[in-house]
Amino acid sequence: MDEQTSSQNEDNNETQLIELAKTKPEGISNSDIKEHMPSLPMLELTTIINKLLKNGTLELFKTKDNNLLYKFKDPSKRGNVKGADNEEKIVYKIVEEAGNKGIWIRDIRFKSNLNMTQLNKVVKSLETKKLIKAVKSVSASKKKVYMLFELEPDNSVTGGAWYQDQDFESEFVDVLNQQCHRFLVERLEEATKQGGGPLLVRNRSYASATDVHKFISDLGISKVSLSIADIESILYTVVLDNNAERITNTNGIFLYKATNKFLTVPGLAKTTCGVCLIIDRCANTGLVNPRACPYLTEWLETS
Amino acid sequence: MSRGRGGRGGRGGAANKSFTRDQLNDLGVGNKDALPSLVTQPPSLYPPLERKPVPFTPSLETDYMLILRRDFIDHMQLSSSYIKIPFASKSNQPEQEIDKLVAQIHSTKEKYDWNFFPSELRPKLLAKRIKKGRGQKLDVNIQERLNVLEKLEHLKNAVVIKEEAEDELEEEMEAEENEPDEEMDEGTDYANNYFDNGENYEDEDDNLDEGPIY
Amino acid sequence: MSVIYGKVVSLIISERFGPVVEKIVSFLFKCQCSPLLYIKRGTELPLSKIKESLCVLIKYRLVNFKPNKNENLANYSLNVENVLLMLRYPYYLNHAKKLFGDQSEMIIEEVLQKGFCSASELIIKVFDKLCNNEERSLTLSQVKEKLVYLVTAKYLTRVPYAKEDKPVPLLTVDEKELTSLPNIDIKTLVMHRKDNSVELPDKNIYWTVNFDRFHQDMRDKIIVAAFNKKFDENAGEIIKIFLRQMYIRTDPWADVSNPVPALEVKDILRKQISASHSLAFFDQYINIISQETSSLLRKAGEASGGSYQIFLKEAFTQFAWELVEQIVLEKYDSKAARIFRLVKLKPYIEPDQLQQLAMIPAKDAKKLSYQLYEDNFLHIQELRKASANNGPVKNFTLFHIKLESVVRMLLETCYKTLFNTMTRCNHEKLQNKRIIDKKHRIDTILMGMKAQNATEEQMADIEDMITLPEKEILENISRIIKKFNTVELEIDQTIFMLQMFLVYQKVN
Repeated sequence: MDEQTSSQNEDNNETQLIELAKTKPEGISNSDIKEHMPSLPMLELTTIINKLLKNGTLELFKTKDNNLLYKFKDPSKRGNVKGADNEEKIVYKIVEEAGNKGIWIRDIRFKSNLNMTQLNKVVKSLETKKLIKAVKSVSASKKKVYMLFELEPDNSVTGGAWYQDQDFESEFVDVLNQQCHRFLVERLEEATKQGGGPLLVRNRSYASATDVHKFISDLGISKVSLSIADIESILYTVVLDNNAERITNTNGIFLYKATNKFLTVPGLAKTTCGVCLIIDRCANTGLVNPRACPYLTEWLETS
Repeated sequence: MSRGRGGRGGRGGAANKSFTRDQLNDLGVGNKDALPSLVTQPPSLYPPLERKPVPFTPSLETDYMLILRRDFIDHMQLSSSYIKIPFASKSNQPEQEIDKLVAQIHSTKEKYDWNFFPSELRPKLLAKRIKKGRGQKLDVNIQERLNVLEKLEHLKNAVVIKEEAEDELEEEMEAEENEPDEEMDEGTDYANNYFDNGENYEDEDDNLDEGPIY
Repeated sequence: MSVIYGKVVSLIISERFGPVVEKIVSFLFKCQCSPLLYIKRGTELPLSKIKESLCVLIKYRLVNFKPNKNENLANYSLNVENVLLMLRYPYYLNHAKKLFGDQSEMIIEEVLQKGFCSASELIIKVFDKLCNNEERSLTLSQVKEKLVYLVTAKYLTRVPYAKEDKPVPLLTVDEKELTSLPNIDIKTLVMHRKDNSVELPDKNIYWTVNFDRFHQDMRDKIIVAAFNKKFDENAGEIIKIFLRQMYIRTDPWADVSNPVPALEVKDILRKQISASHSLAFFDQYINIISQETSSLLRKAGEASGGSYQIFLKEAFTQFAWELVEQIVLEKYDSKAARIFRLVKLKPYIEPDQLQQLAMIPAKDAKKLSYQLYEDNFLHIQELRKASANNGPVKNFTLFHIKLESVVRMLLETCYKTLFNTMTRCNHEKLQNKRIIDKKHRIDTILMGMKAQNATEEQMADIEDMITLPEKEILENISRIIKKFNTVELEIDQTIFMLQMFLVYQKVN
C-alpha cells in the first residue's frame, strides 16, 4: 500500500516537473524547481531528474555561471535535436534505421558519405547528447555497433543468456550440453528398461525442450534464467554432436531423442598418424619422418 | 596480411587470388588477436600432440588375424617366391653362414604351368642343371649343413668348413651367371632351349602329347 | 596414384617377396606398363631374376600382361589394388573360418599361399595338412565338399586360361565356367597320393580367391553391425535377412536392392529359434528402421504386407560421413566435429551463423573452421555481393563440404599411415637387428638339433645363449611389432569403408 502511494506520488511529481520544463523552453534551473515544487524532497528530485535525463526527456546544460539548467526535449523532434547540424541528423537517421541490432561505424560511413574524421566527431557528439550509444557486439570482438540510446540491444548483439560482458560462457554451454545429453540418455535407458517393444521404447525416449527445461531448472546449475528457446539452442548442439536426433511432432514441436552412432571408432583414429596435425609435413626424408617421430615413440611406449 | 590496408579506399576491384581481408576475418586470420600461435611463431618441429589416438580394443579375433598375418609372411619368406638379391661379389655375400643356408632351404625352383605365362619368361637353365646334377644335391645337403653349423657355433672353428660351403655356393652362382641374357631377340624359339629335367611332374610337353583336354 | 601409395606397395611386396621383386614392382608402379626389356634396363637386375620375379607376380595375380605389338613379347602392368589386398588376407581367412569352419579356411589359405591351384591338388594338400593336425576321421570327400561349396558360393573362382597357343597367352574365362568344378574322382586322388605318377584329371584347371565375393560379405557385415549399434541386435538380425534375400533378385553391387517382401523375411525369421523377440515385434522393428532419419530401408510397395528396399549406396554415404566426423572428433575436438556436422547439415553457411548455431565462441569457431579448411575438411565458396548504392563489395565466405574429396584425402592419410607404420616397424627391427638375428640363428640351430634328436639339456644350453636382457628386448620388439601389425589390420578396415563409398559413387 505504502509503496504504491509513493510511486504514485513520484509519477505525479515527474509529470509536474515535465510540465514545468515544457513551459520554459529556455530551461529550468534548480531554483526554479524549488520555487514551483517546494514540497518535493531533494532526494526524490534527484532520482526523478536522473531518470528523466537518462530516458532523454530532459537535457542537462550548464550556464556560464556554472548553474545547471534542464531543458525539455520534444520526443517528436529528437531526430532534429536543437543544436544538431545536418550531419548529425543524417547519422542519427542511419542509426535509427538500424534498430536494436545496431550498425557498424564503417557502414555508417558508407551510407552517410562522411569522411572518417568528420564522422567520428558527429558520432561523439551524438553520444554525449545521449542520442545514440555504442554497444560491443559479441559476433565480432572489439567491434562496436551504434544504436539509439534508449534501445535494448538485440540478443544477436549481446549474445543473450550465453554472454557475460561480451564474453561467451563456453563452459556454461558445455555443461548444459552434457546435462541435456545426459537427460536424453537416461530417458532412453529408462524407456528401454520398461520395454514393451521397439516402437514404445522409441516413443517414450523422445523429450521436448520443455521437458529438458524443467530438468535443467531443477538441477539449479544455471545462474541466469533460461528460456525454452535457450534450451532448444543447447539441444541443437547435442544434435550437432551426433548424440541426439530431432524430429518435429504433429503439433510442430521439436522432439529430441538420444541416438547411437552407426559405426565404432574407425581404425584410422586409433593411430597417431590419424590424429596428427603435422602429417602434411611428414615425409620419408627430412626432419619430420616416421623413424624419428616422437608421437610414434610415445605411442609405442604405452602398453 | 598487412594491416591498415582496409578502410581507406584503395581496395580497388583487383581480383587477386588471395583472400580479401573480409574473408580472412571470416576465417579468423588477419585480425591481430587471431591465433598468434599458428601464424606468428615459427612452429616447433613436433608441437605437443594434444590428441591421443583411441586405444585398440584387444580381441581374440585381432590376435588370431595377427597370427594369420605372421603365418602368411613366414610362408612367403621361406617360399621360392621370396627372391633374394643375387650375390654379385664376395663383398656382397651374406655375413652369416646361416643366411646362406636358410636361403637354400627352398632353393628348388617353382614349377609353372607355362600355358599361363608369356613364353619369354621361361628360364633356359634347366638343361645345364641336369648335366651338373645339382638339383637334388642341394636339398640333401641342407641337413648336413645344419649339423655343420651347429658345430660351427659351438666350436667357433669355422675356417675349413666355411670355405667348403663357399665353394659350393660359388658354383651355384656361376650357374646363375651363365644364363644367357641376350635372348630378348630370340623371341619364340623357346622350345629349343627349354625342357624339363623329367624328374618333376607335369610340364607343357605332356599337354602337347595328350592334346587339348576340353 | 600418389607417391606414398607406391611406397606402400613397395613395402608390402618387399616383406612378402623380397628385395628383387620389390625393385621390379616399384619400377612397374612408376611406368605403369612395360615390356621385359625395359624392366631390365630400368632395374639393372639379371634377366633370370626378372623373369623369375615376373612369374611370381603373375602367379599371385599382382601383375597382368598383354601382348605387345610384336606378339611374341608381352607388356607387363602392376595390379596395384591386389597388392594392397594382401593386407586383407588375414581378414579373408578369419572370415572363412567363422563362416564355414577350419577346413574352408585352410582351403582359402592354401590358395592364397599359392596364388592359384587346381581343385584336386587343393583337396589333397588340405587333407594332408589336416591329417598332420591329427584329424583322423577326416575324409578326402569331406574336404571336396567344402571346396565345392566355396566354388558354388563364388568364394573361389576359375582362373582365366588360354584357349589358343600363343607366345603371350590371352587368358579368358566364360561366365558359366567361373563356378563349374570339373568332376573330381576321389579314387584318383587316393591313387595319386600313393603314386605321384597317377595323373590328376584337372591339373590345368586352376582356382583362385574371388576377393569381390569376400568384399560383398564384408560390406554386409558392416551394414548389419551398423544396425546392431544404431538400434539393437534384433534390428541387425532383420537387416541381415533382408540383405541375404537381396542377393536372390538383385545384382550384388546395385545401389538399391529390388523390393524384398517383409513377409518373406518374417518367414525366415520364424525358422530361427533365437529370433523370438525380433519376430514378436517384427512390424514395429520394420517401422522404426524405415522411419529412422537415415532411412536406409524404405517401403517400396504395399502389396502383400509391404515390401522394402535397402539403399546401399545411401548407407555407405552415411557411413562415410560418420567416419569422417569421427576422425574430425578424434583429430581435433568435439567443437570441431560440431562445426563440421553443422556445415554438413547447412551447406554454404555463413561464419556468423555457424558460431551462433554451434554455440562456440567466435574466436574458437574461427580458429577451428580455419584449421578444418586448411586441412581440407571444409571447403570455401566465395560470394561477392555489391551492396546497394555504391557501397563496398561485400565478400561472403561460405563453408561447405565436398565429401568425396574429403574421403579421398582420408584414403591418402590411410596410405601414409601404412607407410609410416611399416617404415617405423622396419626401423625398429633394424635397430635391434643384431639381437633379432641372433634369435633367428639360435632358432634355426634348435630346429636342426631337434631333427637330430638332441637331448633336452643340449637344447637348453643353446637356448640360454640369449641373455635375460636380450630376452627383454626381444619381448619388447615383438610387442612393438604386434602394435604395428594391428595398425595394418585396422587401417585396412578404414580403407575398405572409404573405398566402399567411392565404389558406390562410381556406379552412376
